[in-house]
Amino acid sequence: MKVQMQEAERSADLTLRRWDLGIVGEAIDDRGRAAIDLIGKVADKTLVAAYDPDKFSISVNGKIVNAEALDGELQPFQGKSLILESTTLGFVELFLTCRAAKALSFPQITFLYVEPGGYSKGDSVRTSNTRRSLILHKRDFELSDEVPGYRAIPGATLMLSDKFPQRSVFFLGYEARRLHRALEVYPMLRPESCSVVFGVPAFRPGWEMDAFANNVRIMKERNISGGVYFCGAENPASALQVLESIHGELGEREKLFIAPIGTKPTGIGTALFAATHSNIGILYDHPKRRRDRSSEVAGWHLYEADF
Amino acid sequence: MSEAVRSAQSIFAKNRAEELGYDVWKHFVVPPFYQQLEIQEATKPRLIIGGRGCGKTMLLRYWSHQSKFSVLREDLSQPDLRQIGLYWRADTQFASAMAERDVSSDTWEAAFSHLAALIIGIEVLSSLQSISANRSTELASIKPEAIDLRRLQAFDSTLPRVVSALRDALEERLWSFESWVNDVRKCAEPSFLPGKNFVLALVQEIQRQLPELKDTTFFVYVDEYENLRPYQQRIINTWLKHSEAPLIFNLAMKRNAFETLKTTGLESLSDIHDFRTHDLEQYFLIEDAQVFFAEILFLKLANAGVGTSPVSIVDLRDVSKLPERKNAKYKKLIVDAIEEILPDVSHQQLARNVLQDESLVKKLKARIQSVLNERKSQFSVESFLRPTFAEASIITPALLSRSRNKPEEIAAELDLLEKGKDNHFTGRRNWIQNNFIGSLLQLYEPYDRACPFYAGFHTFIKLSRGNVRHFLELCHKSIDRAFPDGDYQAQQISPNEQAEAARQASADFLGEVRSFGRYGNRLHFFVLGLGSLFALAHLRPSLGESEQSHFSIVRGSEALSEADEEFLQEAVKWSVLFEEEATKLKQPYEAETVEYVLNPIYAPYFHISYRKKRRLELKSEDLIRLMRGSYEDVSALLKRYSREWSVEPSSLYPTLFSHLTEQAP
Repeated sequence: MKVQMQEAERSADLTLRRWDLGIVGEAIDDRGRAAIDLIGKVADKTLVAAYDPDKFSISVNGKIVNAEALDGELQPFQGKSLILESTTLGFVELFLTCRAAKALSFPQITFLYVEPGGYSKGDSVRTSNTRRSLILHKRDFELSDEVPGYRAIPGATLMLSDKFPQRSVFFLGYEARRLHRALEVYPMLRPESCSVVFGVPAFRPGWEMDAFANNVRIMKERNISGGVYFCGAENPASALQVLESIHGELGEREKLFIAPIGTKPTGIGTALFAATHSNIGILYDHPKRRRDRSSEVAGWHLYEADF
Repeated sequence: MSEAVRSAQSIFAKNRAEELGYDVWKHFVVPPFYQQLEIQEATKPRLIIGGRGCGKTMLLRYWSHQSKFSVLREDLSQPDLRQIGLYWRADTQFASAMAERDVSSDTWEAAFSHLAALIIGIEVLSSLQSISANRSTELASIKPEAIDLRRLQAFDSTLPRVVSALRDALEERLWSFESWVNDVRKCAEPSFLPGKNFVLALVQEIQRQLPELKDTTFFVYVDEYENLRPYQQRIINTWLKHSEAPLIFNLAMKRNAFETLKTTGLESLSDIHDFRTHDLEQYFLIEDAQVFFAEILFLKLANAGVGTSPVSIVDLRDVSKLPERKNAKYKKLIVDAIEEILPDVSHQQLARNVLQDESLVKKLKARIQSVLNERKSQFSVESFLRPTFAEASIITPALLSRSRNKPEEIAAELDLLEKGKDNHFTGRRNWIQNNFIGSLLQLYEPYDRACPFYAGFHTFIKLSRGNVRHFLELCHKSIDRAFPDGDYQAQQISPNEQAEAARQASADFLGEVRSFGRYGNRLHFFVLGLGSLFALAHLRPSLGESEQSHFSIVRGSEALSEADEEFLQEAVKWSVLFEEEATKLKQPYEAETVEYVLNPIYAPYFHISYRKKRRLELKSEDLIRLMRGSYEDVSALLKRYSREWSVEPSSLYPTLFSHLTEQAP
């Protein structure tokens, strides 16, 4: 699969064309609003999609359909051009759309992604062994909405058992609790065949240190020893490359589980990979994003993936 | 990495049963309450209850065929064949995918039964392979491959007749089933096997042809039952209700997790009649957990080749040795040995440590002087600082802060204490016992070092409260801190290192609360608020109610909603709180009530007592703020209590409460 990437500081600096269909999610912050605004300008028709992990359904412009029947909703656009606004769409919406687009033989999908300018303080807590880390700050009380937790995604649900060969790959961000929770929920994940991928280079110099510092304790405690990989935080092609490489090493009947709990671009890489390979299990915790979590709009990215 | 470092890390590398694999024989210590589990005579299903880390999975895996017929055991005999355990921990993500998706509920029910038939069927056949792989002479006559299972073709004419081939065939059906569940629209629906009926037929056919197993009962252990969907639980409940030899279903789950007692029929499950409940954490409270936990540590050290065990490691795995392990001499041997490694610090020693520490003495003097100034007393600080009576000296600031105690009376009581006469410090009013720990914690409060009150084997037992994983993590962190180069050979670990380790472990476990289920974030928020409130209570100058680390709910202006009650149950389910019947009612006419104890593992982080002493009577509206208020609500609540309790947050040092004066982010 070929992925072409463009990056610009302002949306006006991107080389844009027109798309027949744009799919967006709900805007909860500045950059989401800016991204949806751009899609409205470059797409002839815009659909709003939202996945419900409890019902395995997806709402498309308010119409609730079985998530596995999304191809029926995209059928009228078969052969036309498609752009997904990945800042506002969640990982599952991206995956289901890629899967449906693949089934309908769309030749290409374009993704728009807008980087955060900065996160609210509550998100970037780095733990350490100093006394100061034992002191409470207001950010420690930050209360995000309830997290539904790891739930199956139709089309990416394999049975996880430590009795059968398996390989798992975690794309990691700074929220170490997501890795911790996965390991609590799936004790059958084998630490020796569990790999982690960090986003390096990060969106901003130094942000990768938060991801390292926050996750390393859990990795050590759980003896995760399947290898550490790096791919650019804003580079879906690099994420695809890591996955292709690991996939190529799988033994006979060895299952591959991927947890895209890192940056959105690595989630795009995972969605494209899972949509184009059979027998891939996805482990995902369906977090609800907080409103106004990221305060500013930073770099603009356009990824064009040819199936 | 050096060999030494590897050796130290390997002691605690695997603290979870899942990490040890299915054959846990080598790692298992028979718990002191083992006889109560009625394993020999069990004919009724068992419901094993307990929080995370209390050893449920370890126990179930010990009972399962992989450990029962472990290749490490060469002394098995025919009676060992009477019970065969089959462990089943459903992949809850996969099981949760079996609903909705435009597939009828009848089909999903049949599909779940099919899944159970495949998994348990594979386990039954694997158990035969475990038996034949075991090298015990008495089991050598058992030849599973001689069995002809052709009668099972009544379920599916393509099923093979030979054990190994049938096992492979069931595994292949599992793969096909997995593909269908993953993509129900595109893959063909498999032909479903009828869950329990298929497994029962398989078991009966084996028993008919293998006379050695004719009296065997197969016990299915369903772990993490609470994570199954309600319809899946109803199917298992039905099998459990109608369990009888040779196939008995048993469940393991967290406390408060039994959401439905319904079956697929008209009858529901009822305790006692249909199953026996075994609460592992309660057993640990009744039985001698400290000896058991120490034995587990010694087994881990021995398995890693560290030190010399004070007892026979082999005996720890032998059920018949349990009575010997309960005698007083044995217990003393074990406790003496572990105290050598993790020495406790007596209250007297804790007090002496304070008076030998220049900065703590300076602080103690300042506190005495401050309260004397407030009371406009002319007494000197030295009147209350008696070096030979360290404990008494340390509590004097609290005593002086109480308006009813006159400074001259306290000084007089100290004189009596020094002269060995009746006094309030050690006499009926027992000032020292009631105030020492509270006063000690106040002295250590803003300091960078941890208070050695959190050190010692017996302290670690209290902090763990029946949680093996917590205990082992406390030990692990202590060894890591004391021997960072990894060269650990079972030497003693200093109380200061232990206390620091306890504080770090406590902070780490607190961080994990966020991952406790659907309400993890809110539970985390709740623990931060509640722990902070207890920490404030510990800072009251007069220590009128010292060491408050549990609460009861007093009816206030707002009643708890059903959702609030559910939240409390969720906190109990995840062992964030422990629910207990109230022990001491303040007034005889008070109605019986329940108390909620904050898990003591969080005590070192909040710098509060892990002992259950005085309870805080929390008004319902305050509890509601802590459970579902905003940060601003909780902040206002903490500030209000701070004023009521005359606690002034220090501006000199960063404390747990610095956030109350932080600017909004």
